[in-house]
Amino acid sequence: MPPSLRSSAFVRYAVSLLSAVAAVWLTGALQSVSTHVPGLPVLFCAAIFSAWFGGVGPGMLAALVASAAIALNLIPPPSPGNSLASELPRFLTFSIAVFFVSWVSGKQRQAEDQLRRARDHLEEQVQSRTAELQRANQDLQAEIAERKVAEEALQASEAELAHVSRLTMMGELTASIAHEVNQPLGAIMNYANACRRLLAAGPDNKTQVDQALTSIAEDARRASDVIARIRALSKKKPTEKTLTGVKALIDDVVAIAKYKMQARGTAVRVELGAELPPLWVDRVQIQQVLLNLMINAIEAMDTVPPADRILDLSARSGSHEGAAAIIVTVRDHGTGVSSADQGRLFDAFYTTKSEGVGLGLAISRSIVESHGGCLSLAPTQGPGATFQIVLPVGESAHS
Amino acid sequence: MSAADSIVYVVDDDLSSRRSLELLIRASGYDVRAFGSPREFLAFPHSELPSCLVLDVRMPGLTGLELQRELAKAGRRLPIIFMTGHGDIPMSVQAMKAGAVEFLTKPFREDDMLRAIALAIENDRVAHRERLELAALRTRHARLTPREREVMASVVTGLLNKQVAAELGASEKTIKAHRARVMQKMEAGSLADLVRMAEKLSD
Repeated sequence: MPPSLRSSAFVRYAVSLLSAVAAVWLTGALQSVSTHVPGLPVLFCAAIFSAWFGGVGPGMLAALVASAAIALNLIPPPSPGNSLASELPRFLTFSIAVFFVSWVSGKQRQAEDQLRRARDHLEEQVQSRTAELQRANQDLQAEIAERKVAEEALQASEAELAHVSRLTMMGELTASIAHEVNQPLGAIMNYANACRRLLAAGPDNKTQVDQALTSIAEDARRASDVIARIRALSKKKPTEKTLTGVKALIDDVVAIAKYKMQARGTAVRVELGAELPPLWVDRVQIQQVLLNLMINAIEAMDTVPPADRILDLSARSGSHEGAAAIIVTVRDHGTGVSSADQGRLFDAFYTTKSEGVGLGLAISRSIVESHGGCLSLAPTQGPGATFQIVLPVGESAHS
Repeated sequence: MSAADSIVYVVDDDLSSRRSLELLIRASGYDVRAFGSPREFLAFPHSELPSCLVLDVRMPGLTGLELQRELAKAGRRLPIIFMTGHGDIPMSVQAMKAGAVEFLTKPFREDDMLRAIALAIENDRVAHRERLELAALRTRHARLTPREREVMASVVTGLLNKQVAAELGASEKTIKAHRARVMQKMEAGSLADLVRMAEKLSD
């Protein structure tokens, strides 16, 4: 039954009145056919139906109509001719019963209605909450996507910055690089000229010529190795972690900075621990960090006597936050870091060099941190400064 | 070009640079001795033969310029040809001022290097000869008596015998005799010869 039909009080009372009148008429009609038909159950039905359909009020109305019908003798008593006084108990019993039943039915109806309304309301609430939740979820998704884009942009700009600083650093190493390429090229030229002279002098020099040619091939490879190293360092590429040996890493940076060290009269001492596990790192980025620290160290020793210009590089096994790690230190014997500079050393755009930009250490630290490690100034015994890079080794297992 | 009875020293820390240069210079007919560091070179007993040094400027430990200074301090006058990995003007100026024969940038042209070596060896040959002459001159000068040395010092300033006699408080005749002995002992053919010798001795 559509609830809209029952929402109007008029309809409810009309239905109640009609059903009561119909019950009275039906009872009268049935009893005119046979006096054995009991008349009261139909009246009860009408009262119950009215209460069920219309609630307490209409139920009472139907009960009133039924009681009136009996009182007015529209429905004849089972045994006609009895006095009014003898009919009174029957009438009262019926009236009380019919009012009670109507009231109970009506109340039940009310309770049902309330229950349904509560359920409907609950459903509505659930729906509105669900919608709210969905909206929140959508917002969250959008925010996550936005954050991801921002993070990617940040990573891209960090990579860009690292690349620019790498190029700047390579600029500082130009002389060193030129020297590293020129050395083998010069040797090749010497060997070639010597070969020409040896061949012109006669056929007896075959062994010497042969040796010289072998050396030419070796030096050509040496030159191309240098170029490959430089190309790798100057290339712009996203972070690419590979399993990298610590010794190869350090040998490479020493080779690149060798000439700068010689030019400034700096000697390098490398100390590697036994059986160092390989690192899961971006080789170029870590080399960038090492070169940066080495250049700083070399320049920090400009003002000390030549005999003291020693750069110490060391790598050993250790631990970081409870996991296995490699600890690399770069130590100079220069002027050291003043206590005023210590706190700001790793800040961007903070520099103590006359021509520095102040990004080297800041970028180096962010590179090491992006590898899950840390870069710090370590306490130094005696003059100079010690920088320490701690890189976890455990990550290789997750490759 | 006479390459015999001379020796070329090479000091370069880079193995292949050193070996290739050694081979090239040897193939050009010189005797070569190559060293990986200035210290090794300094420790090597040096030859009396005309020689020159081909030296890399930048090396760990002692640099080329420092070696040049060390040699000068030790009085070892050896013509030096410097090599450098890249053009370094302040350093080349410094080296040339300190008496370098040539300053070559690697990779250098073969001709430039060999010409510089030939020139350096020739310079050293002349210097060597002059050194020998000076040594002989010193020996002769050492044989003069103190009085003869006084006479010689006065004569070479252009004073006449009479003036020398007045200055030293002796007779002109005595001075004349001293002067003759000086000319004889110093093996000088003329007064002009003696003046030149005096100049060399005072250097």
